[in-house]
Amino acid sequence: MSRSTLGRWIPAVGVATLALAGSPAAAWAGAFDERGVFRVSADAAAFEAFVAPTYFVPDDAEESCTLKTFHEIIDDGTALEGATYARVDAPSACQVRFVVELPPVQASYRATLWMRHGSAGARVLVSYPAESGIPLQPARMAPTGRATSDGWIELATNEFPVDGTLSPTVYLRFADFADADGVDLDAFELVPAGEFVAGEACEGVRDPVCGPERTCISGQCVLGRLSVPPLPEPPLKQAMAAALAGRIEVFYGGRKTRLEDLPVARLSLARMRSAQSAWAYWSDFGRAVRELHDWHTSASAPVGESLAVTTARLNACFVEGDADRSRGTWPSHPAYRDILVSHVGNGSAGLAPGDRLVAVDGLHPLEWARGLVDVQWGYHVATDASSFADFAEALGGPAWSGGAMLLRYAREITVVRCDAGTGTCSDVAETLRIRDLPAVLGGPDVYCDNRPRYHLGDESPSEATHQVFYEIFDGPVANTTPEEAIYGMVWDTLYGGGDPNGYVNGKIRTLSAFWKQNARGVILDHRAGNGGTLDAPEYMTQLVRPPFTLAAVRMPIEIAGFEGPSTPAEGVALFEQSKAFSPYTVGADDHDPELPVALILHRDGSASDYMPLGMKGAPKVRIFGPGPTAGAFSTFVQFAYWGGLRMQLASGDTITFDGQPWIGRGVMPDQVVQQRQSDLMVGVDTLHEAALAWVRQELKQP
Amino acid sequence: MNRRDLGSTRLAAFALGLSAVAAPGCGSEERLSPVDRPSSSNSSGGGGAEPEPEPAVRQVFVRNPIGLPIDNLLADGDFELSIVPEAEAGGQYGWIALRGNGGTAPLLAETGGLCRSGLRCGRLPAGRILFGRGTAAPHELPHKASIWLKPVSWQPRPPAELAEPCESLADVYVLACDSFSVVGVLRPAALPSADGWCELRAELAGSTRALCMYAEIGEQELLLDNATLLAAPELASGPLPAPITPPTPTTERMRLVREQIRARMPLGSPKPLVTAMPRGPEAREGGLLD
Repeated sequence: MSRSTLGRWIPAVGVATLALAGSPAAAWAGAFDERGVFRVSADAAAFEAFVAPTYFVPDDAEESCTLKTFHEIIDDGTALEGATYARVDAPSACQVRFVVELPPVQASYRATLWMRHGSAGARVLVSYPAESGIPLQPARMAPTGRATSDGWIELATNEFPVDGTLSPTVYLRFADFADADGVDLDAFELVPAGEFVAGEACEGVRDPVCGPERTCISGQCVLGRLSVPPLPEPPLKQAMAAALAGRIEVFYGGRKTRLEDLPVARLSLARMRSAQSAWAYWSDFGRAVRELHDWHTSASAPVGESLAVTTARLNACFVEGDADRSRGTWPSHPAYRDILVSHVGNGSAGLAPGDRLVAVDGLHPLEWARGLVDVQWGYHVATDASSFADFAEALGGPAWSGGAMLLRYAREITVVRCDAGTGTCSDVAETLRIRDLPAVLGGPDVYCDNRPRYHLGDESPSEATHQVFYEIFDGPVANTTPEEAIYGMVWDTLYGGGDPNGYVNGKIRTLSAFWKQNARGVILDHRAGNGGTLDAPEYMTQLVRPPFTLAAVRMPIEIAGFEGPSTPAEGVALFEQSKAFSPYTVGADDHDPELPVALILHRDGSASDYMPLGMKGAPKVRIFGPGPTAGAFSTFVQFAYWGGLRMQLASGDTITFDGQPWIGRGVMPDQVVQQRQSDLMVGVDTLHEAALAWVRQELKQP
Repeated sequence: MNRRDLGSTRLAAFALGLSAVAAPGCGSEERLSPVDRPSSSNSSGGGGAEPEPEPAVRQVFVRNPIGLPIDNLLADGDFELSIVPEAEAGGQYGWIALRGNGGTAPLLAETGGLCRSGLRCGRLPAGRILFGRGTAAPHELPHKASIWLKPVSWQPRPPAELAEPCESLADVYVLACDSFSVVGVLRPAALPSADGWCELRAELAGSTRALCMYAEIGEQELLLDNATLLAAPELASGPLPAPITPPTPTTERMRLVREQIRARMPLGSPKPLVTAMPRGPEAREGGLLD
């Protein structure tokens, strides 16, 4: 068994409690005197003592949030400052908002707020008149680490700009939670800090005009520090970095990801300690988490959360494929597959199915997307290092679904257009600047699910939206005969949730029973597999194979820092040790050994990895897809910080009966099939056609 | 001790790899340093009696908002990273609160100096269950487990008439995360600490399977904080202790909680990727996550 050493997962520094007395208070806003009495900062530009605060409710707030106020002013001798404070106790759908007045000048401020009991989401918003064209600007609040013996803790923003000459409304937005009887607020203070920064246009995420403290997103320089917690004072800065690293070192990953990816992330974690700005500090943290290179693993921060929606539209979805009609115009990349337009909606910049995206900012689209690891907080990568389907899927589609990478981060794209009528493609590549894409209104956004078409006739999902999401679609496969009795299912969720009769498990079980009685062949289309829970894959495998304990799911991580079995023999020992308590049990005695079942995959992770793993090798199963699944063979542990900052770490591994650790190893299709450009151009779904041909060849005897 | 002295002491300790030094609750109580008072040079130097200084209103300090110690084998022993809006209760956080029937419940929080360490601590009403995710020490090293509890009603000390104030606050176990077989019971200290917190602790054998913490809150609403599960190489590795069987009602509740946790262990997106787009003020004021 591989062993990690205790010392290895102990970063170098840590701080528990530091008395503030006697320390310079220059970095803080309001200070405390020797008796612990709060003193308002002498240079505060605004201060709310919560005696009679000005509050408001937006016109478009939910009606239930407008019927009463959700705060009261309390004078009970326990205020932090003065005699009174506010107690907020709002329903989860509502927030409270308090307005402050600032001078009519261009300036930069840092806001602080003290709260006690429960927890909260707090942000300061700067709302400019509509005619200014400036979007609402949120600045998130998170702890500074300062606390008092009577329960108050300090939240703060980083420095944020306010153009007071435009008469903006500046207000605190506060949402309480995890409290028994409300959350108390006091001493909301805005102090001039830093330099005013005006908004600025930019092109592409690497545009140097934004400088190191801003990122170019959707054509605007986004001030990163507005969306991350304050930079902690040293030595708390070191201690927090060490604490975050400690969680990763103890809980992250399985064999592949600890051996190959964690060492990369450690370098970024180490850089946090020398960061000189909040944005640099938290960017290093975010980058480290992304460098862990795992489908389940993410760091999220609300970067660019209120960006004005760009007027440009690129209502198109992309898939990896085979550009069999345009290699003469643009050769294929030696390492990456070709990127083709799968399906489009209104406002696709003229792109049509079969057209080819050959470059983004001069790079192959997948190379470009992978390179965003240092800047893109929503970066999502397969654990298997050879799977890039997640990147291809996220290039297009709407931003609200995690897509629109091109619109948000690219400067220009290069495409090769094709003509379905002639079956040919242009011999000239065309470059489009993102900022020049036309604003096209009307028609739904198309969602990217890696399916150019559906094949369930009237039972299909909408080809106008491609929103499969949490639904399961089923029915006879189109263009087959009743005598063939070929049925299909289109679905992306495997969230059974432990309920055998719930929607997902119930549907799988009911359909399986029906197919065993009535079908001569089945096509399962799971091309945007979002995973779920282990029970749904187990039920699905019960259609096709006899019972077997295929693997042990050792997760979250069983031993701190465990690097997994280094030999198959160690792996077998671990499997034997865990199979009784955490088995992945596939199959059933009443499976149908004669029913051909084709499983079509494309971008599938986690429970959607387990399902093909459990079905692969069954006598009448054949898996079709362009490449490996994500290899996300674990669960995860979640960590919720303040101000919308979250971390999710994959934790643990899956060991099959033969001693193999599976994290980072996607399931390979039995038949590797690429979407062909020539097929897409004429509305043919290459993967489906391959699956249908095989099923027809293998039909169960009536 | 001033801020720099305190900091350098702890930094030095960590540089030696002694992470537990920075861990309040690892057998030592975290103390809040009082605010320094002005030096005597501030006095006028007159011969009359100096006026009594006014009493301090509060103490002010800086605490790590992420949670300590950094080598804690519990995912969020310090209750800093599991406090979420009720809609997210039941996620795969370091702590989840449950009802007696196994259903999830919100984990409430207290703040600042009302907690024993860090900026947030847990708060649960009587009768609730708390499940803490953890792992096991490498090399089958023995463990030390600890958690600190304090009834909300203690202000801040227990009523004087209580002879054994730390008894019966909660039943706390360390168990194998997968099977829920109990490997240790945490026993309360005889008396609370000076600031009214009761420590429950246990020494445990090494384990080849992940260890988790399970607590059933007694008849009082409690604050919970500073839970640790730490490798304890200094403890002798003796023979495995005999299996511990909790009372039958507890065993039944454990079974329900285990089923809940195992059945809902997320593998992928626990919910659809998109359920609803933010509208109204939420859309304009930023993201939904607080």
